[in-house]
Amino acid sequence: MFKLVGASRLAPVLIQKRAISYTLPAIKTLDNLRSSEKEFKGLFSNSTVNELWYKRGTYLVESLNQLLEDNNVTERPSDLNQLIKMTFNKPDLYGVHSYASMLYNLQFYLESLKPTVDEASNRRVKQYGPEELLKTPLIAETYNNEPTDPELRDWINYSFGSVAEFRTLLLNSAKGIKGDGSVWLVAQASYSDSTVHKDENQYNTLAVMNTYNAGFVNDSIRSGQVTKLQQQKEAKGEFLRKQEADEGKDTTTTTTIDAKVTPDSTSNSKNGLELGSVEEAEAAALFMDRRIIPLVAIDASPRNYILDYGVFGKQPYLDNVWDCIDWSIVSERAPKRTKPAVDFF
Amino acid sequence: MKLQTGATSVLERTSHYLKAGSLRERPAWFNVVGSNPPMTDLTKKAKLFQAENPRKDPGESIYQKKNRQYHFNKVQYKTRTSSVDRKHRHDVVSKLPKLNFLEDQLRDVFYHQHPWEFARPKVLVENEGNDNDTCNWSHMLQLSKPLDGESVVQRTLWLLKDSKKQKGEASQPLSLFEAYDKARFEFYRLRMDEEMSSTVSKEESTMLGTVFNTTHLDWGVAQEQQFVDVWAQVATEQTQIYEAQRGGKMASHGSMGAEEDEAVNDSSAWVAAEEKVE
Repeated sequence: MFKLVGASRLAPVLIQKRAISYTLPAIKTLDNLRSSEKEFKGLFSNSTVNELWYKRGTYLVESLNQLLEDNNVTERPSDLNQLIKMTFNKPDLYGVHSYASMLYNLQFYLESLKPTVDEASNRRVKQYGPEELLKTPLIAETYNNEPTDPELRDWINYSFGSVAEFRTLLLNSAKGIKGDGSVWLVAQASYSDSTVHKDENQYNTLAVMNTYNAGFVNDSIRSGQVTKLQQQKEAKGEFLRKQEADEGKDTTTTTTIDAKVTPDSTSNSKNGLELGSVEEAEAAALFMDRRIIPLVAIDASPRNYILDYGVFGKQPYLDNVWDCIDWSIVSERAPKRTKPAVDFF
Repeated sequence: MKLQTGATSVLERTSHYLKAGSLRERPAWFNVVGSNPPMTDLTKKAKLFQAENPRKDPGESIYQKKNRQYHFNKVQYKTRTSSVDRKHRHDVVSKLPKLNFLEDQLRDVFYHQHPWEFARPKVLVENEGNDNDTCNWSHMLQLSKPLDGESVVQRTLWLLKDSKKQKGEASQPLSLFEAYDKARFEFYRLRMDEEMSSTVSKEESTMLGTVFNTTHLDWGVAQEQQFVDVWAQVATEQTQIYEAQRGGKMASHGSMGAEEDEAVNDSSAWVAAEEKVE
């Protein structure tokens, strides 16, 4: 086992062992809890921590290694993000991509948390009955564990209106997820600013977004995906037409849908005078301005709350997660904020 | 409208008809109704005059002998209602009592503040008229009822009542305004939750491959569009003809050639259009 690349808490980095296999990364808070056999105060019992991180994490790492082995992937970057990016456009490495991404999400989520001293949230760790579904929400305007860093607060206020509004949006988005998935607070670079300052990304807004199953936040690598599929389709159509021409007569009955559709679309797009369709424009620009840095993740998958809170305990679980978010880490993760030259508010 | 009292005397009338021969066969229900005659008279009666101590109907005093006689040799009768009587009739006899409920005032305030709440579809039919009995307003969300303005009204009333109950426990009872505001903000929270949930659901299911059907609205627009397309074509032609004619009159516009010929037989443009659609 050689050099561990930066055991930093800022970005999850996997420990690489002899460039052969990955191991479960260390999360300090959780390791302490494990050795002292204490519970994660205000969020999880000790057994749940074990279940969520040590058991599931190990399972993900092992599966990832197994798949890398099975597919003879030799190039294994130490940064999990790199691996996710590398395997994105390779359908045969779909499994590797999924496991890597799930592991990244899980680690990111658990690293954003710290145990809380708040008694109220400690009391909330219990099994809930169906009456919880009809419970009336709090209408408070201030909450426990709001970020104290003035810069971060200011940025949140600028992007969402207020901390309370941000909290509502974040937790409601998480609550809306029916299956597996996470909600993220991300810093976003706007397209216009980034084109003006080409050398560096200009992060000026915060946003809340969801990912489902093994989804990942930084989807700038999706850029050009639709265009590429379109090109593939066209190439296929071209190929089929060529084949038909070679074969000669009476092939009309065997034409596929693709071959029928493509001639029009290709001839249209080749006409330089015509504007492209809306879809083409969207496909070209959809992910172009996607420069996103994740700051906080909240995993809203049922496995996180079913053990300690029961089937009906999603809302109290999310309330507790809010109380346990470590805002100092969030501030560290946040990129430099670019304020707009003109403020329209 | 005259009061309809015929429903209770249906048996009597049917037997008359049978006797007279206008009905030949006994209806199937005849014996049953005969042995179980309707016990309740459902006709509406003016309550004021048929209660235990009824008021005197001013109409009854008509054609009664008057007590006061102005001419000693003539008996006087009251032959028409006096203006006092008429006033009385409008005020007391037929006037419905005005029903005042706090709920109505709250509804009025809420729906004036949130007019778009009216745009949400709502079921007004109740089976037994006691749907409110199944609700427990100690919480805003109800299993038997979707969240709407009525929830705010009922929750406000519950909060008011509840805060009065807890008066002894050193907490001030809520004012109506405070209770309404509290209920309103709870309502906002729940609406936000609802909205986010549907947005996320849509996103999540789209990601998992759902293809949503066209809505009824889309379908309607598509149907309309067929006719609009034809109309656009016809309109273009008509416009050209019109402009050509105008051009003929105004020399500056010049051209009066082939297009004018078309103008002669333009009567069947719509017929042709309809054929195309079919």
